[in-house]
Amino acid sequence: MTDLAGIGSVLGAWYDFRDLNNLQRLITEWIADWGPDWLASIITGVLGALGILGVIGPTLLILIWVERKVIARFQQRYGPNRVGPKGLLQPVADAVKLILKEQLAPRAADKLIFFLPPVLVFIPGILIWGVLPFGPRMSVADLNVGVLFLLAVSGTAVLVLFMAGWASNNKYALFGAMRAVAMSISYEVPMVLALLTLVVFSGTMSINGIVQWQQQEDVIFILLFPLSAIAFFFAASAELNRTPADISEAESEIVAGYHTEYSGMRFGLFYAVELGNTLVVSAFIATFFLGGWWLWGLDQWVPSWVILLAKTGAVYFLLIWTRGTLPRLRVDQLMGFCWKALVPATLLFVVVAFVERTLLISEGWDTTVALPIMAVFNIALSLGAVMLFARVARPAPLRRPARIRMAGSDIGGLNAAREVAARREEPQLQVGGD
Amino acid sequence: MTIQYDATAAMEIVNASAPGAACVYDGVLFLDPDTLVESIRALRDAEQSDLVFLSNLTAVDHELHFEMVYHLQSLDLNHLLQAKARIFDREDPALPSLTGVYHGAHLQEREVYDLFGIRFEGHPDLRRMFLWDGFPGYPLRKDFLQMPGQVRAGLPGFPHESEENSWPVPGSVPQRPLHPNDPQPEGEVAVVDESEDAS
Amino acid sequence: MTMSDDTRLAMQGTIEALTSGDGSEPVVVNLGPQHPSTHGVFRLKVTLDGEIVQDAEMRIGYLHRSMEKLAEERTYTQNIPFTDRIDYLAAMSNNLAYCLAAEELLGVEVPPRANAIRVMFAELQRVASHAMANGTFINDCGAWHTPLFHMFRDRERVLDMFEMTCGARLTTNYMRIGGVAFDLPDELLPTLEQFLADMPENIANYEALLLENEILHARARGVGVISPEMAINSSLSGPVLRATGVPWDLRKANPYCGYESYEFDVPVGEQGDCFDRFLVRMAEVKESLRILRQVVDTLPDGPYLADLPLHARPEPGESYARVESPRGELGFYLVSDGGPAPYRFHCRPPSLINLSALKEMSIGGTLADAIVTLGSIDIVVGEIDR
Repeated sequence: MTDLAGIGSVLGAWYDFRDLNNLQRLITEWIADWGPDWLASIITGVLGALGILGVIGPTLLILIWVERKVIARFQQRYGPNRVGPKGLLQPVADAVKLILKEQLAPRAADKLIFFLPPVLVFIPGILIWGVLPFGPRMSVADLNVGVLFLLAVSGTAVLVLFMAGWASNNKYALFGAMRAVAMSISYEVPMVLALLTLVVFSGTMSINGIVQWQQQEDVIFILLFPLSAIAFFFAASAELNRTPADISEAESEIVAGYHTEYSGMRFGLFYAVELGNTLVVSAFIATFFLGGWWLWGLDQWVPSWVILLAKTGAVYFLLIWTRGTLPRLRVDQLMGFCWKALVPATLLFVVVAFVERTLLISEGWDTTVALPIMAVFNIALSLGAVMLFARVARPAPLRRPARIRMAGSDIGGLNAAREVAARREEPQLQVGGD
Repeated sequence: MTIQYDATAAMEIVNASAPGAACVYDGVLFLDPDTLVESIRALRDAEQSDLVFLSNLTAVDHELHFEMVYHLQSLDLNHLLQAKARIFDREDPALPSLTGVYHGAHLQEREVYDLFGIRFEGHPDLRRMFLWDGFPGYPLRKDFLQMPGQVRAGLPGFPHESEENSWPVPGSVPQRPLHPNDPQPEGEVAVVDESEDAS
Repeated sequence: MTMSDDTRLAMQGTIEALTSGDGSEPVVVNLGPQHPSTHGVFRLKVTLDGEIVQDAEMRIGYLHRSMEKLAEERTYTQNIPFTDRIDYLAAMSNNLAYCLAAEELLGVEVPPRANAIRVMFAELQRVASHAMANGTFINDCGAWHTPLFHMFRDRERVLDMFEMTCGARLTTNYMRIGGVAFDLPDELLPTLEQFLADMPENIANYEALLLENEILHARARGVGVISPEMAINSSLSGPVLRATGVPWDLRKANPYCGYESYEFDVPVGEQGDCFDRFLVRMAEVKESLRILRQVVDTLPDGPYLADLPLHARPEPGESYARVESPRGELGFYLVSDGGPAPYRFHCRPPSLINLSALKEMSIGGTLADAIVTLGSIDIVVGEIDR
């Protein structure tokens, strides 16, 4: 295997395309030969940032096209197909249109705070990319508390949304902002707990460490902790304001939520960051639960970032799929689902992770035998928890089935209604219920 | 088609509780405006009429009086009754509101108030509905935008109704009413100018 | 630093509000007239305590075109295009109701083929209108347009059939006093056959996607509930009334255009909530397809328009004709003074009257529930304002 791993690096490691970090290391070493240390740090930092921006920018444009095209196919439409080949240039045309549009601001808006959010919203969106490992050594900052950094940075985004909603001086925007704050605070709890499961079990808070643990033990975390993965997926989609949890910009209720009053490119920036966040969240779901850049030895052959990108694409498709299919939950239902279902479920699996970790470390169980057993146990436990929740926590109106009966010859008012309702025969249609 | 409820039977139901509150003229039930609510409630609650459903409520301007038309439907017995009430006061037409009997009268009475200016006493929320507060006049009245002369609103005749009386021929049918904002016919303007000159 | 009087007063007000009582006051939100889910220029003024609706009041009239006044200046035939524009999503039903009222005044006998064609197009219109109603209802529940576009595909085929028959898709102006304007074109019946053959599978797809959807159940069950007694007292009609369990359908109760000769059933709900209205509409589409099947099989030959002089003047009198439009009981009340134009032209608009109980349905629910309720009533603003 070591020979195969060295295929790309004939004369050393610098042009091994599988890990672009080699290039950066080469530059660092070259600068260290003649210059001070701080210069090397700055230059590599800037290079990393430029690399990320260079990836995100074009990716966002393509993603807009992908999302519109995929949603269109769900809806039996063609989607964008006029501008450029296969409509690929449609996002460019949209961006040009948005830039050229007039930027309106309500007269009663708080001008400074109204102006800032579209700019500020980029900061957490970009910062998160810094800790994402594209390969074994390929991340801008491989922090040993990467998980903490991720949660801290993603938590700040809600402040920007609240600024936007408050400064707009619009009731829809304020509603959207309040909903966003309430939801963000609530859904951070299951998100943290889901990640805590992984941290406890793998014993590291470094994101790359979690991937390497999966590589080392030859297992991906979604098999070990499926319910945590689903909880994280749902919590993340809630944080992203995507259907079925897009209450903070629910179109049919509060028009566009916190960015109702933003027009032109200001709206475009919100939109772009939202898509960018969707991408980065897909990447983190792929990293935490699907093994990140590692795929059972395939990473020896294929560049690690390609593997990560493929997994990200799969998760992203799943996000588009849920968006294209599901209606939206109500505010109270969404909060109830978080506190009554996701928090207990993720908490349960934190405890399970503690116990299993103790068994592995203190009792010294053999991982090759213990991990499959634990996986089976955890999957069974997850199914049991879901079924228990479905049985216990169902709201009262949903416990009765909805029935449609045929009136037949009974046409009339209340008397006829009573007669139809009193019939013994099976209703024409019966859906839902316990 | 619709099965009509016998107006005489309805009259008997109404008159049983309040004698003289209803009469039948030409097969149509007319109700006394003063006891309208009680009459309609009696028709709704009586077992043989059972008119629980207010199908339609509207008004007609008959120039000398307003006529309120109620279409009441029984669902279980499946018959429709047309009842009418007349209001002769054109300055301040008023009628008791049916909102206490039928919740569905709420919006329909507001519509009639908006377009005919008939006040419904006892209506909890009587405001204009389609037009804004302070709109001058009530559009569905026949004297809305009163025209000069004896010209009445409405279509005088069919276009090209007959060979010798094709439409419009000046003088053969009354001139179509003009909107006050329309330019006045030249002839009339000239007459006005002359009279001003003479004085 | 000095403080302006306005600022001081505002601060005082804030301090008073914070120190007295619980320090909160309700928020008034105007949904509309420009809002994604009011289906037109309709304004719902809701008073909210947090997310809970305390009061809901509708403000309408943005689309008021004074049709009832205009109709007094036009002949009976010239008024038919107005009826298209009253309910532009069910133009055929409106045409039909008006023509029935005018025929009652004029005493016209409609030939059997014309009646069959009228039933055919009224039912096609019901399929199209319910597709729109259910699609936008799911949209109001927050779906990202997917069911709407699937249902629009069916509606599009119906509109294509309208177009090949009368040249228009929405404002059809197809019915005439005494029949219909044109005979069926040759290509209509094969198209309709294909449509009838394809629809069961499409409906099965929608049912598979929507009927057991837990989120849809959570959003629509137990929301906007109204009791059958209250529904009747509020003059509700159509699917909104039938969802409460009251089996009232004018096609069965007072058959017109020969509905009595077709076999179909009237679906009724149980709870009277938004989900039941949705289910009733889904079931009604299936019944409409049943009627269409029978109409195609038994389509009689003969004239499609009664022999009626163009300049028929009705005797002085009045008529009130009602049909079961997709939205409910649609009636036209005409008064004739013997002239060429109606003396009084009144439309009983089901969309407007079905809103009678909107306040009662919305209060106590959340803002999102009010939107879902409004969507389930299926309003057309052209018909509300006329």
